Amino acid sequence: MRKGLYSTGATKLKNIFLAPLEAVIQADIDLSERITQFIMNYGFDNWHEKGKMPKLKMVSFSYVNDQGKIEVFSLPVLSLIQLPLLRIKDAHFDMKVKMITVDIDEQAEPPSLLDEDADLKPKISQRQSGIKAFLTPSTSSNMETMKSNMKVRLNMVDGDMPGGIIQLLAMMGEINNIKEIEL
Amino acid sequence: MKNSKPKDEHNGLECPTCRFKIKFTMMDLVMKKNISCPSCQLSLNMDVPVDMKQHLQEISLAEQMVRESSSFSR
Repeated sequence: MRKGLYSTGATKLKNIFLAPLEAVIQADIDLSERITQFIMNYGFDNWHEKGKMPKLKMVSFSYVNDQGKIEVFSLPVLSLIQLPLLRIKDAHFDMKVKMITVDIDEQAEPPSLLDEDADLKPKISQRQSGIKAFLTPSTSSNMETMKSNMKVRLNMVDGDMPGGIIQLLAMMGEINNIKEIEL
Repeated sequence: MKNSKPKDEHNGLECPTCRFKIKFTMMDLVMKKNISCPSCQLSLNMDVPVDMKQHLQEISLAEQMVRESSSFSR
């Protein structure tokens, strides 16, 4: 059992920074999974059937060419419209942190009658020093501001469209089946 | 991860006569039966499968909802 300031809400400083960053990364991973699912649902037929190659969903176009012949061609639907690829581009976290130095006592375990070696190895309580911190209210009040001794700003930035998706779209633009039909 | 800036350069249909990149919206695919090239006015008939139209309509509505709720302040 641990003593210290855990009950007052103080925690390790790294945990305070880590929590929002981890949440954003996890949200981005979840988002990527949803986008992948969306692309597969929207762009492919029977993609969830095992052992079968997913088939691209195609849109057909036809027009009359200069020679008066109807030309029919089809393109993958994925290459036609801009995919709604939502990404977390920029995440700002502003927080005010109060850092404190604490000593944490590792409490000695109660002696056990069953433990034969208990007398031979007496448990010594260990004392550790460390920096702990807690979030302080973010107000304009001077008193509240004085309570915090560190203002933290964390920035996270992510890019636009993954290169793999761009290559996939470029490749799909090349896929077209052209047929000529005489009128 | 390798990221690149241009987002919609690859989307759209290249006009078979003038090579102009014709841009589409989801609603174009849902509502229209033909589309004209803005550059050479070539008229192209479109055949979008019905099940795909339903899917596109759902996505279009979802996209609209995302746009409406993309910014909020507490």
